[in-house]
Amino acid sequence: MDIIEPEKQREFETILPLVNIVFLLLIFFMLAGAFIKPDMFDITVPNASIENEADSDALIILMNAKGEFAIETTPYTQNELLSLIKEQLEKTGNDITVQLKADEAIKSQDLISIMEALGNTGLDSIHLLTVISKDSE
Amino acid sequence: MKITENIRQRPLISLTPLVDVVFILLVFFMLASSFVEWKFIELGVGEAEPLPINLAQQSLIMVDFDEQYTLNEELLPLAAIVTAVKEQVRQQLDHPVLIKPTKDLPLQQLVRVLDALSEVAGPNISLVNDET
Repeated sequence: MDIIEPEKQREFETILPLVNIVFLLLIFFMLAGAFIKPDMFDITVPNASIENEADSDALIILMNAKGEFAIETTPYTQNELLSLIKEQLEKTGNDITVQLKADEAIKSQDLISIMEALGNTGLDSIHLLTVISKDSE
Repeated sequence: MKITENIRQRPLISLTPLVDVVFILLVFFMLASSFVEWKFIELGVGEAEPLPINLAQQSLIMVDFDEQYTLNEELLPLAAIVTAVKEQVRQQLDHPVLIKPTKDLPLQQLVRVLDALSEVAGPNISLVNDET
């Protein structure tokens, strides 16, 4: 009995480094990761080598390859979207950042027409979201 | 002596359930976090007055399929266009740069041009629709 007991304790102490590492991993993921925001569509954004860091608290408009719009998980028609932005602009005194997360496959004329429509609401500029291209790394 | 030994061997809270919970938290944070680094290209959308297309005072870049680029109707490689625009912007800071993508051009191909030009011409860039 007296011999077994210290052995058990030794066994127990060997998992402590494991627990330490798991704790460190946990803290790393908690601090370094941003929560995934659920999106309405699966969007492949275009690649670019631009280094402008995007704000995380901006209004993100999703635009899929079919030209449909959504904000987070709510679908919007173009008119609903424009009135929402007009409302936001009035409420905040033109102090909003609008990010457009558009699919890489959308047609350029669709991008330009939504940009013109957004311009008519009084918005100055939009941020077109991109990711760093893998081949330029 | 014997009593203190026994106390040391049996901690009040067992570590195993704690490790279980930490593991579950770890898996949750691993699945719920994203490490995508979002970047952006700023595009002006303000109401633009229809400028007369005057090639002397602005650069008009047309983007076609298969990486065919023209600067003021002259077929040039993208690097040459970037150099030319850079020179123009250096001479006149608010030199307008119009980018006219051809109809049905996928966004990725337009972004490639915007990417190259935004470093040299930043806020001067505006997009124009191909009316034809």
